[in-house]
Amino acid sequence: MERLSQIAEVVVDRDTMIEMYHRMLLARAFEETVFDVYRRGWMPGLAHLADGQEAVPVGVCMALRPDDTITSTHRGHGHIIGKGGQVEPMMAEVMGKATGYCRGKGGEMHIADVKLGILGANGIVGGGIGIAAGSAFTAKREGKGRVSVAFFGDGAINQGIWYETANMAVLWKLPLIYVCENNQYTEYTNYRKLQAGEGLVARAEAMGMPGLEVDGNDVLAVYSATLEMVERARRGEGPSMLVCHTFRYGGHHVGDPGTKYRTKEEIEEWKAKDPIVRFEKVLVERGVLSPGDIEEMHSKVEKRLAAAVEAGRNAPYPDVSEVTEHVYA
Amino acid sequence: MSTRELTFAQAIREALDEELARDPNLFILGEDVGAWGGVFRCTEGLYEKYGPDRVIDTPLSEEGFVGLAVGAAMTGMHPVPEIMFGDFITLAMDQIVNQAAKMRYMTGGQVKVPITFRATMGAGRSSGAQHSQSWHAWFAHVPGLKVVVPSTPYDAKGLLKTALREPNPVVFFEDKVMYAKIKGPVPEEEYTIPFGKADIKREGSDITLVALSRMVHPTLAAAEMLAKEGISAEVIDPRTLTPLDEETLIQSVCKTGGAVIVDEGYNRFGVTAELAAVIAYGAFDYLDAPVERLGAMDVPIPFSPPLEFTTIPDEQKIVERVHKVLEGRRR
Amino acid sequence: MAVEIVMPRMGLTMEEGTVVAWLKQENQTVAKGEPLLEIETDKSTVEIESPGEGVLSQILVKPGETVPVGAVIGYLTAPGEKPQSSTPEPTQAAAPASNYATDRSVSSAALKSDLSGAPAKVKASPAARRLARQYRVNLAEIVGTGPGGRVVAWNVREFASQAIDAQQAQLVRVSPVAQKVAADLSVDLSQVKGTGPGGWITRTDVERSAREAAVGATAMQPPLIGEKIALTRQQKIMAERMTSSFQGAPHFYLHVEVDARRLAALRDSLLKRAKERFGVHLTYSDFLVKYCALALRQHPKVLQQWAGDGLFQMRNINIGLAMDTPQGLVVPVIHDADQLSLAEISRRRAELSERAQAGKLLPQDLELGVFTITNLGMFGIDYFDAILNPPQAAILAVGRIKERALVEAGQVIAAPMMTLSLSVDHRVLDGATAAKFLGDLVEYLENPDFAQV
Repeated sequence: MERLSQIAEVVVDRDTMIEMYHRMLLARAFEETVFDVYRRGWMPGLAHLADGQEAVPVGVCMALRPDDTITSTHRGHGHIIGKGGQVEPMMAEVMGKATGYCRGKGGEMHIADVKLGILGANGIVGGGIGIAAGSAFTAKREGKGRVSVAFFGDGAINQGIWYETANMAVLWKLPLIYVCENNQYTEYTNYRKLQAGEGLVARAEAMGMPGLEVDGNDVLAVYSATLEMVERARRGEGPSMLVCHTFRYGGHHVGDPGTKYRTKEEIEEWKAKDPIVRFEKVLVERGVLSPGDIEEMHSKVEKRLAAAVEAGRNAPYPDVSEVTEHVYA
Repeated sequence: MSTRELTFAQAIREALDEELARDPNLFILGEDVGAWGGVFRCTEGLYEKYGPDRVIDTPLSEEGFVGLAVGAAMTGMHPVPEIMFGDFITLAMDQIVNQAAKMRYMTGGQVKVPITFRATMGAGRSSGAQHSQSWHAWFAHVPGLKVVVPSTPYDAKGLLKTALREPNPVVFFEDKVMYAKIKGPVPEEEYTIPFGKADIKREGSDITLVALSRMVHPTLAAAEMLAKEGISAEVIDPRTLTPLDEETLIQSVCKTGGAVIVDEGYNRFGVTAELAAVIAYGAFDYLDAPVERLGAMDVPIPFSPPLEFTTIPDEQKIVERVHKVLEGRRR
Repeated sequence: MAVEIVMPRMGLTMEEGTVVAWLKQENQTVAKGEPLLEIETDKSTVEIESPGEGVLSQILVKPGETVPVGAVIGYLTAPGEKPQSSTPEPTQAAAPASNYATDRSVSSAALKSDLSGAPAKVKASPAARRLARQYRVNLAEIVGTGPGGRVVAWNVREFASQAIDAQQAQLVRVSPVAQKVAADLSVDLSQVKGTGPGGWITRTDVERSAREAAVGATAMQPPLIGEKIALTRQQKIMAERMTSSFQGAPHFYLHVEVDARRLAALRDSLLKRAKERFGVHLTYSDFLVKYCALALRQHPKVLQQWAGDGLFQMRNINIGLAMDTPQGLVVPVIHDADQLSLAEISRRRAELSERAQAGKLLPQDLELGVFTITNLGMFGIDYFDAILNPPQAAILAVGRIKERALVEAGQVIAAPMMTLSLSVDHRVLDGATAAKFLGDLVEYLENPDFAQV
């Protein structure tokens, strides 16, 4: 069903490329660290990881302004980091600590940093779509050219909220960008088994909005496509739909090896298209970074994550008296 | 203070009008609320006065426009979605329960969700089982939501104005039978009514009758019938379910020793159950008889009038329950 | 069907009784209401009437034997009917009924068993149970009129008021028959001289007294200069309670002068704001209730009450406020005053006062007080001693706040002063214990800030 759109790659300046790379490294390192933290029993609950998908959140968010908003999904750590979220309060939140982004009340699936325009990761599949539409509604009302991005997966495209908001967004020309991060599996089932029709771009077009389909492991392609849609939205021309094909290396959550419903070959095939490795090649080829620079950035990110784990483990749990706080404003 | 008589719908409309004028971030959205003026005439004239950007006709997409409202609330607006028939609120349940009610909590207090869901309730119009239900109890069950159930034009206006200034999601239930039928005095002057403050609609000493929304009216009529028998009934209207003024209920029952709770929602796990528990706990040592619960019968609401009226409380049923509570008590 | 004759409960504190004499022989026929036997309680000897008509078929308890209240002591059968074949063990039969009465220790566990023992088998509303605890009556003895025979609140009130009347009657040592006759003839038993054994008033005494009164009424008109004024119920209760308190409880009094400068300043500073914010008018009584509540919490012994052979430890700090009303003295109660803010106390006090003045106090407004404050300051009284409000062990009498000489750091200055007098039941509290309580109260009144600590 993939019919990749032809997108002219935009010219990206050196600093932006380095920052893109940095955020992708952070996002990858965060997932690998959480995997370890989870396995050591240092965090409660479940952990839904997105290693392998880094090009989508980073490519999209790097095309946004600080005042643009995003809503994220249960597999949302990359979106938070892509939009500028800090790994230290993220790690503490994952561990349920008082120093976490949400003071331990949100957890692994619900990290938010409203100041950065992150209106929260959402545990309901498609749950962020309505909120993103509302943010777009406010943005249009404000008239400052702000846009709203709804991240969701291939599972959420079959939820009614997508169609209901798409209808209104087109009708009212809301500055909303739907980003479908198709990692091929809706929980434990290949999306092809669950999706009728001619693909998601066709669905978007049927609703009356343009859609683009890109290689979600190519950060520059994602970035370029997003910029086009963002500019369209800022001009007041309404919503659009970006479909990014990518792959999660792990299972649905830590504890699911993800090998029962996916073949080794399929996983290896996607690993050969790893978004970070691919981007490193581009960076070196274009002379943006040297292999030494890359080595150094890796090591810095690893140290930062190690320190975040240490800080998170040493941080206090929230006082139980906080349990009744924030129910009402 | 000068007052005039307004219908319930006019009082609602006036609150919306005043608050739209006061707060530029406030906007109404829903099905036929704009140019048509609302199926129940609660937004009549507002579209003309405030324009299509503030009184918005939506597609018939309850989940969609309620979800959109939640996001708008999180980003600084105060949306007022209207759920035409409260029965349709089921379509928007995820947005209200999983999104609006929890966003502040899950983000550790980073956002406010100022949103006022207006929904109808109430049977008695032969509208059948999908247009007659009263689902206020569901929302009173959800932490993070406030629930308002006004019974008079005066209360409706004052409480709605409070809701429209609340930084929290509020589900505001209006009994559609009252819109045109119930009239009452409403001051010309600006006023609001705080949440969590029950209103003693009638003072009495022999029995406490708790009623909310439209049920207050048959309950007051029942109190009048009881007075003729020499029974002095106190009628308490909690007005808001969340927050709930437990104190007033308990104090009244401590005085009277007995209670009948009247509600148009279902008894089973419903408002009558919760209020009975509050009273049984808070006034245990003062109860002289078990608390009586008079809710809707636990059946889907039927169409045929004699069947329909069998399922909902009325004066006669209330009086019967009072007699049951007072059996063997000297008056 | 045989009718059980049981050892009757004749007074609130009676737990067991001794058969003095059977006035009928076994197999003798008796009419309902005819004297059947005499019993002796811890207070007196009483003639017991036959509970029904028939033959005294069986005497189970012989003269001189003591059995618990409620025990079957004999059977009455219809003429010709067979007597009860099996003989129940009297004490066994008595157990449920006397459960409450026999368990009188001061421990809270024992109090709990009071609450949940016997009444558990009786169908009674929570309100009725609460009143039964308060009046210390046995629910098992009360006939319920609620659904399925449930004892409801007014059944207990009715029963308790009858029990109090019965107790009063017993104090003047009168036979039940004489009591009935007295009621029928409207004879005041306190005016009747008893000629029975040990000064017992008999039926003959009552009838004679009635005749004399009738003769006197015609012969000696008017007997006195002035006229007799009938007592209101409230006056009658006051007279009875105060007499029994003053004669029954050994009183002692502690007196103290309080430097009220800070209290007066605090009240002045809060008065306006409390009015605006909470809509209450703060009075000195409100402060007194608040500080008494705090001091009582620290001195739970003051909450104890005399129970004849033990002490009741009361828990809830329910403070009564003596109020003057058109109907006479009443003492409505602010319940759990230690849990209330000053504004809440003030609001409650104002409500009670309003209802008291209107004569609309509810029974529960007067219930369960453990301590009383009586304030005559508003009548310009500097200082007085109060009579204990039974069964409470202490009452605080408050005089007016007035400028008086105060010696401070060697200087005589004028300062608003208040006098307090604490009346104490010496059976419950000794001087030192009461003094410590009063000392802490004075501490709060003189340093209201301290109450915040």
